Amino acid sequence: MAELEAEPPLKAEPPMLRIDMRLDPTGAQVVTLAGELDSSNAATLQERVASIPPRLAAPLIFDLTGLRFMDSAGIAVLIGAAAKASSVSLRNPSPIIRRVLEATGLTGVFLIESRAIES
Amino acid sequence: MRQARRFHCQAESVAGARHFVRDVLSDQSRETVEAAELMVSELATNSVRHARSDFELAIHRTRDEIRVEVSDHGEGQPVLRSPTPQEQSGRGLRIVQELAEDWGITPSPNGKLVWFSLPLRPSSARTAPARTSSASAQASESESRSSASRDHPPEQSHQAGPDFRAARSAYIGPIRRYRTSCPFTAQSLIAKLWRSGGLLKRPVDDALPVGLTATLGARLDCLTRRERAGNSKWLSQDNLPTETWHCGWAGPVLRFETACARAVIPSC
Repeated sequence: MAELEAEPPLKAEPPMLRIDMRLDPTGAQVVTLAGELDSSNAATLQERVASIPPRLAAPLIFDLTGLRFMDSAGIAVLIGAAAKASSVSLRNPSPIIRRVLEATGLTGVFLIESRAIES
Repeated sequence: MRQARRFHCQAESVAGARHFVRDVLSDQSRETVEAAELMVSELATNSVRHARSDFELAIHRTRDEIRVEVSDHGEGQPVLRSPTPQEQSGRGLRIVQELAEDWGITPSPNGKLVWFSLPLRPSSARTAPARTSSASAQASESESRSSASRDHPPEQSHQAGPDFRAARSAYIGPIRRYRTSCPFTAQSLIAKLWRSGGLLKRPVDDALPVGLTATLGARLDCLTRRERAGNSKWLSQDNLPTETWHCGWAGPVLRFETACARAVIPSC
């Protein structure tokens, strides 16, 4: 790191994450995520998910269609949610997220709902 | 070519590091950019959260690969863990292990440097159609195998050794993990994979004898032995190591790559 010591470190903007929560007509709780989910905002999502009133046997759906990025901090929140809900579905995870779920042995923890991907 | 940037020790820097790597690799395939971005996010998070240090992100390009380094002033070393599916944390380095071509940790006098590499894959030069679903992996396996045998006929593999570079650039499918019992040898592992039908399903060329050496020559394009520090050594069917190994991070990890499958072993 020595050769760049003179240059000041870069200040970065926080990533944008939008969280929308609603009940769908079947009674499932849908959490729609958009933007980027990482360690800087995973706690916010964790709090929102924890605020969902516990209802017996109600499935939880994370709609990831608009989520551009998620790392292991986001995966941790999803796993935490899966431990409390009757079932957790991930809707339209991106190819890289699917690849990580497969590579880390997590495909059995979630139900994956994917629409056909247009080429 | 080297491009580098320093970042403050703050949570927002992780996104800044991601955006930097995305910009620098904007001419690369989506798969490469997304993998690099995810691994940078994991390493930058480690620097900020665990090392509690400013960090530098450096991206080097050589003729055929991208090497990304994240260095910080933290004293401890990140540890590769194997969390159960129920455990919430501990997947950062595991993701790097799965997505990188190669990776490692280098201690430095005032901290450490964690690096990973990916093959250069420009966005305009896709070598195979992208797979969108793992459910189709089984069906597409025979398809990509036939294309692999077309590109690398078994006869050629036997004479000149497998064409590792071509096989790596043609690779596109997901990494698969295989369980093995401990301890194991390279030979026992390959025999197990053969039996399980996972990696070596059936001979590419049925005219070949179905002996281990012949099947290896036909289908095992790449075999890397990876040591603890992330240094890896390419092996071929002719120089398979004979010693007994144990699972876990203390021992070597074998990576198998073929044009149609990729496996990381062991996972026990």
